[in-house]
Amino acid sequence: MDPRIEEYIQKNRGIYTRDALRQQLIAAGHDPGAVDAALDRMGAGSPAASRPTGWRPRWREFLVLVALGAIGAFFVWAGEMYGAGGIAPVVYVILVSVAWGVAKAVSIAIDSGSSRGAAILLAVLGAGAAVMSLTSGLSIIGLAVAASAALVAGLLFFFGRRNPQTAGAIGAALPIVAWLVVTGTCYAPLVG
Amino acid sequence: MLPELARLGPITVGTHDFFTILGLLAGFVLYYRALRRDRMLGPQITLISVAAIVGGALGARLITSWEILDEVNAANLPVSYVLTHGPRSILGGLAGGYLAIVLTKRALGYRISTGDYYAAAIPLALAIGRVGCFLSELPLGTPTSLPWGMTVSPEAAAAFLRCPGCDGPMHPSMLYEIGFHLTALAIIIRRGPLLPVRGDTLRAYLLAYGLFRFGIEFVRGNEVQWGGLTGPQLVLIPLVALLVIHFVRQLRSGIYRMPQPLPAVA
Repeated sequence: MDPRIEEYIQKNRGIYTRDALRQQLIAAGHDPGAVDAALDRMGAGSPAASRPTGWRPRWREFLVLVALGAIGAFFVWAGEMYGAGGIAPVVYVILVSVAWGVAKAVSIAIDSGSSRGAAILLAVLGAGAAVMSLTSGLSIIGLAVAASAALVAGLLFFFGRRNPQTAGAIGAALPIVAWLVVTGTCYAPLVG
Repeated sequence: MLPELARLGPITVGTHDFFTILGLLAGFVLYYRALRRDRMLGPQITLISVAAIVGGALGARLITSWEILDEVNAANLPVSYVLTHGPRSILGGLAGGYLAIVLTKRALGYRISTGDYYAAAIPLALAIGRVGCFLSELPLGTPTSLPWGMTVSPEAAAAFLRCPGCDGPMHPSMLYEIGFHLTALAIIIRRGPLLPVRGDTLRAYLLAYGLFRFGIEFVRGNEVQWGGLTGPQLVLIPLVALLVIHFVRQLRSGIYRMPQPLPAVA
């Protein structure tokens, strides 16, 4: 391996795209196979990718998620008749905490070799939430939870043991995203 | 017009909502694939992505809220109505999402540009989302005598408080926009990053979309707000200006002239 390839990538990967770095190196006469191997090994320019990405929830990341989501929840629900704008951030914080815990538990379960069990558990939870939503009037929130659980279960099957950190991270994000999307896209403009 | 896509028991599936979510999911798949290809996946990038969606949802409502304040006041509705039930603008969604990404990255100390990973995802999501607009929103555009002008039934037009031009053929402005996004998507997928600097492919797309949208607003049918310009056009002026300033600075800095690597040893 020509050390000049890695040196060039290391120096410029924060500014230039993977494709641009590749083209420059090949134009300078370097072997395309060696260039691709170096780009793959070095994560194509991501400091985050070049260091271990184990599931390590940090309070700062958690707070960013909580703050942004709570503000969003307040605005999304602020005009509802039953004063949901006040309670929505609280509901959101509870939800995000649960999602965070679920994601960590799922990640640990996969690490210990049991993604199928975690996926089945989530599928059962999702089905239960769907039934509850249809019978108790909590349709939107219940359906969001059900859809999220089903999506996470599907993704866990998809990822298997190949990428537990990613599965865990998506597990944390999906319930929140699904909830925000479902409650935030109501079609009710000023129409007659 | 098809404002409701389906009814599943007590649940009504709105056409606009369905295509919005479908667009988001399709965009997410492309975004995820691009991140995975470059080994960028990780908890931090997930948080940044979530922040983008939250910021986008807020921005979409906030940026156009001033347009309907008078109507809301006249109807004695709470001011918060504009945020919960007001119109949404994809321009606000893009600006809000962009701002949320910048702020979240700063909070997390994440310095690498991730914009290019959205470069294909956004036009795909917008193209799909616009299908929902086309099927459920009026007016389609300004009146036209061009052969592809489209008409709607009087019943459909009556469902909207404001529907100028709905009594005759209209420009299918949403289809024009879908065409733009699909063309951009094809170019980005076929050619990969259009510019060597990280994030600038997305900015180039946003600049192109901003200019296109400014032009398409003249046949869109949105209300003129000030100086003969519609609300989106007024919003676009500073946003496009910021992007132009960015590219002028980039060009002047010479950053597009990449440093030459040492040649391979023969």
